[in-house]
Amino acid sequence: MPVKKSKNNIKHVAVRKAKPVRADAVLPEQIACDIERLRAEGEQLAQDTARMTLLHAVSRGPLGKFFEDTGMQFGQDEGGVYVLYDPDPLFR
Amino acid sequence: MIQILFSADRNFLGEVLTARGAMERLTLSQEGEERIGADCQRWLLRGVPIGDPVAYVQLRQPVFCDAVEQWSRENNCACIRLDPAHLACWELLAKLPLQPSERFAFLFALSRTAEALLPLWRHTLKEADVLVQHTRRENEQTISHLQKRLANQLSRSFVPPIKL
Repeated sequence: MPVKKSKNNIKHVAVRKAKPVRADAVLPEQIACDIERLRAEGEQLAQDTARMTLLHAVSRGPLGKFFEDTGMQFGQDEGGVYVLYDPDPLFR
Repeated sequence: MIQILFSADRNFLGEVLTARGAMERLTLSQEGEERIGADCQRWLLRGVPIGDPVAYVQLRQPVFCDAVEQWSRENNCACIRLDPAHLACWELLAKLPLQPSERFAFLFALSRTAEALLPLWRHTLKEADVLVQHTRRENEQTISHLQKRLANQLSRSFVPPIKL
């Protein structure tokens, strides 16, 4: 910080100017919103990951073969995963 | 043996552990407490009410687990029976972030899977758990980075220029 001495021996310190805010700077409120959105999307992504990993396993390989043999199939609608073969009507 | 109870809308209500048909332990989830907690209290006092006319099956009777299944059907709940061999897979499945109906569908399938295929289920469930943890960790890192940025911006906007 530059220090000047005046004639009456009083020190004057230059005040640092605040940086001007860039027009494209992200507002704190926006970042806070982004954090909330990311949290929700991250949990959705985790849920999709779990669902797809399980669906992948039960639709092929030995597990897929087993379900095919027993007439059980998995499908996915807007509400998520459903089982096509269900012996108990209460389970539908 | 273990019986897993679900509501009609596939929410997990609780678990009933039985040995030779009689009750050993009953655990309810928070939702289970709210929905069937009072009924289960009455089971302890009078037994499980089933049929018409009503007959009460006592906790220590060997047909207790059959009575729980009948009670579930009569009270618009679903009951899935699991052998002890399936228990480890159910514990892994319960941890995964799935919709209630999805968890129910996978458990239903799991309960009908031959024991020889259980290691494959276990492997798949563990794999899903690892991937879920990885996804969450990455997301937390992004959020933590954004939080630091937010903290920096906030501190900059609140600290006035220093005058000496």
